Amino acid sequence: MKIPRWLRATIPPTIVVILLLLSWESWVRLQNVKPYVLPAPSRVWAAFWRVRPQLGHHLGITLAETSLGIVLGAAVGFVVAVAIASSSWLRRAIEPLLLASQTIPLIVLAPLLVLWFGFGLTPKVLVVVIIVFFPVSVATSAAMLATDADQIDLVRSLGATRFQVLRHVKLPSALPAFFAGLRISATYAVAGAVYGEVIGGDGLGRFIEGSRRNSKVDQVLVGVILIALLSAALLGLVQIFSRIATPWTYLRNDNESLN
Amino acid sequence: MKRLLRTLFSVAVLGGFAAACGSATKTDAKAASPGSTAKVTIVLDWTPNTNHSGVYLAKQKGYYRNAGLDVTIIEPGDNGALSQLAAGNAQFGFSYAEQVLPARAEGVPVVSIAAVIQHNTSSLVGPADRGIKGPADLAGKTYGGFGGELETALVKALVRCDGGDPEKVKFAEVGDVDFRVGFERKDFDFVWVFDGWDVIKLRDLGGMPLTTLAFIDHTDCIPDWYTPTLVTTESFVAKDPQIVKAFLAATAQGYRLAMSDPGSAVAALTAAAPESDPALLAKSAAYLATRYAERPQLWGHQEAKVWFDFERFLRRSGLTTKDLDTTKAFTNDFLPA
Repeated sequence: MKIPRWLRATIPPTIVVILLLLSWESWVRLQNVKPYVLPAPSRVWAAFWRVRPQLGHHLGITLAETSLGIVLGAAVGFVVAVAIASSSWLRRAIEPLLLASQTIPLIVLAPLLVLWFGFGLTPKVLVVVIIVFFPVSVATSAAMLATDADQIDLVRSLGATRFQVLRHVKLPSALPAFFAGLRISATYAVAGAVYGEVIGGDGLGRFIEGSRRNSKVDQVLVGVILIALLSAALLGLVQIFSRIATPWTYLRNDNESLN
Repeated sequence: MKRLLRTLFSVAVLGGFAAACGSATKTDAKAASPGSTAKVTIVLDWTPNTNHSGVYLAKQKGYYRNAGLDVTIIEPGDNGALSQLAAGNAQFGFSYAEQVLPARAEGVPVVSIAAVIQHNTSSLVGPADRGIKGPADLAGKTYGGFGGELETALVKALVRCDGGDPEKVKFAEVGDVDFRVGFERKDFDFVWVFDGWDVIKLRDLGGMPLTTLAFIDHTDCIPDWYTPTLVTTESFVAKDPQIVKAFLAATAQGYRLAMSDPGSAVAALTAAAPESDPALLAKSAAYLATRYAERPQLWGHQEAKVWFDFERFLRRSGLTTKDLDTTKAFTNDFLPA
């Protein structure tokens, strides 16, 4: 009997998750671990059920911050990548600054952003933008610089302008890298937004911080799981866009997997 | 609930920031003319809790609205309200005397406009089995805190007054941990908490036998001070005194209701922060109902001597170096008559 592809993909992680939950639950019960240290999964589930009505509000805010941040961060990363790839002078000028932007610890930067931009969405979106744009711009610009020289020569010989070379050769060849960068970014983006929320404001970060200060570790873990699920959902979304925008890469992968 | 001290470290940064910003405050507040509403923002000092009861009640019961105020309540992280006030992101905030005075010493023009609780309700607490009977017994024990200078100064002063050797106290920087876990793991023997929150959480709800040394029982040795207190900036007081008055009148009404009907405070807090522990809120609200003020009409009132004595203690302990005029650090002028 042939097992469907999607089942082959989902069965192993499901088994691992179930095993992990079972051992966690039995460890807590056997060792009598206090719920304010580590609540059992069953207790976390009960907490989820209890706080369910509150979660939509927090999720909505965190989702808004994260998606705005990802879109803006991807746009900024893309523009930076084009700038880097189109002029070696710009590359030398921008690259050190790019690196410097990533050396500032978020724990230092986020409180300052809240101080400068207040308590609204802005500072959290900015945290996400800072997290997102870097992998995108690095991956994309590297791919654009690595575009097959023969292809460029060919299009040039047909009379293409600089812009046409960018539009028809460099960009398409860099798109897979762009999405690879975005996938890395999307993984961290939610955590970045939540971090900003802990510093000041609303959303899942506030829910987690408030729960912690009420010694409700089970609610904290509900928040943690939601962050993971939200990240996974965003990652899936990026994957879908990637499939639509660069169908050829998936085609090749499918062929390879058949061999 | 000893969220207070970390901010002391940021005061120096804050001073620089205030200097850089000058008096450029970008407040949204409009003058409270009849019929119009003024938008103001208040920054809490911590996760919503019973110290904030009056503000949440004033908002929920419409006292602010009736006073022509549209109040937004913001929860900060541990960075507290003062920097946000200095940056003009908010008009009012919850702070503490131990933040207000060092901030003023750094040139941050914040002023305390109401004492939220009439006396300090902080204590040093430890598990009952650590053999702590009085402050002198803290010698040889480990204090778990943020490593702040005020913490060190207060603990040492208490031990010294009681005839113990202050140099024998061990100080562990533990930060924002769960105290119960730290006690059980013997990471530390005593901590500094608010009676109305952590003591209730540990002892009444957690069933942990505790020894508590209340600061207010040792005023022969250490000063009383206002913690928390409501603050605003000098520039806002000068620009919009009517809004400050209206805000405090409505807020006082909220705290008076919290005193006469603690249950209403629990309801308001639960509605605003449903992630809270309702049992903790209920016990805490009942505890504070008799402590916000001696009589409801006195809520918010601050005494010059309390500010003066506390400033002297800070300076003697080396926490502030400048001679501060404490009469400028607070005002009762905007409290309802």
